[in-house]
Amino acid sequence: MMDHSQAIESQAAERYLLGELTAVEAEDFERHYFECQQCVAAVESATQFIANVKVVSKEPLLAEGREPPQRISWWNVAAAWWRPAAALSLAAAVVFGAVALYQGLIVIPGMRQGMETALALPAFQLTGAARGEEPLIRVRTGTLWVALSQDIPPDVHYPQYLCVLISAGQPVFHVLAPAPAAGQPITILVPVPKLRSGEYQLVIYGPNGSEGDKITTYPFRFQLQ
Amino acid sequence: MGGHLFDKDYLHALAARSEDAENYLVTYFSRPVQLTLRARLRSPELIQDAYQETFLRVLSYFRSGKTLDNPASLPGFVHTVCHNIALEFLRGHTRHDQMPEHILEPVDRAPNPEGQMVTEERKQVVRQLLKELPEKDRELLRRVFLEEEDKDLVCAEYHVDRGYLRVLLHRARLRFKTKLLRANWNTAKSGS
Repeated sequence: MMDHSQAIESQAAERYLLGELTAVEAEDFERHYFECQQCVAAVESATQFIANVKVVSKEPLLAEGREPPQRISWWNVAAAWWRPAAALSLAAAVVFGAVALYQGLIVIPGMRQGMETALALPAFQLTGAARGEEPLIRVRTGTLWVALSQDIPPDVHYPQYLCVLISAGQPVFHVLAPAPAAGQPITILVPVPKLRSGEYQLVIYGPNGSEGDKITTYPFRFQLQ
Repeated sequence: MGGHLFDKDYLHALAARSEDAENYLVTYFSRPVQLTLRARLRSPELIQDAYQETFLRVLSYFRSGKTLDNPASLPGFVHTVCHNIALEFLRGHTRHDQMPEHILEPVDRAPNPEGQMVTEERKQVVRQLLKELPEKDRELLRRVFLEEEDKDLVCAEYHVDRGYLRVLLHRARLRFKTKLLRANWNTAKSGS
């Protein structure tokens, strides 16, 4: 079992709360802090700090929106419209109104029609990193979406999974996917305009998204035709 | 570290349903049980239920006449019970039988598990602490803890590694504790 000096040296309290410990390490640390008042105090103070950061971090947003109450006269209201800022706002409102009208009459009906129509999407099943050559995914230029499916190992059971698409070591996007039905793969829709031809990796994590939570990696090559 | 607190006499007292012994057990393990459950369960109601269930099951064990060969293993025993109950609650299994009505429940002097992590005093300390941090660190904490964004992605965006985030939390936690102690000390001093 972990002892106190190991817990201090490894900053186990912080690792524990940041989800950086494996399940075995986390349990080991928990067993330790059930016996160690200092470590339980460390986890507790960090938990309190985090809980209060959550609350306090919301405050500036609220405070910025607040303005001191002022006495309002009709003359002030009328005069306010002729100030540059108000005139600009009025012009912006007219422009936004026109855009809204255009969207309401033309764009949204078109989208609605699109949503009510069946679409054929290019779809690919990815295979794990250890199974051989990376699969090549070819998609025609102008395609909007591509569906990627990947299996979850049968011994892994999480309520949801974090899927991160990585290119050249940088995340392109990430999406949280609910656990699929037993034996079924996770399927995600990837916006093709965000992709360029090249090598990619789709990394599946447990819900914490930490390195220790990594489940599997699916490398593939992507090519726009 | 705390194993020596529990000896055979203490386990005998638990078996004999000593109110003092039971209250001491609840008080001693209240914090680690809360923290462990909080790490596994998100719903405050579920944490509260699992918290009560943990102590109910530990006390029922000793009340039924069972004991531990090694009294020093009591913390590990409570942890195992807590861990198993959290898993049971996660899996949505039915709960353990309620305690029979004729048995007196131990007095829980510990604060509500979901209760008062956030207080005015702590918020004040955290406000001050956040103000003293560079904008980048403040944003990092906000996005990781408030927005609960993916830590790797947030760290990559700020060009820092996970070690940076960990050390940031470690230092902030120590300063939080120190400032809180100082604030409490000042309050006590002005009150006396």
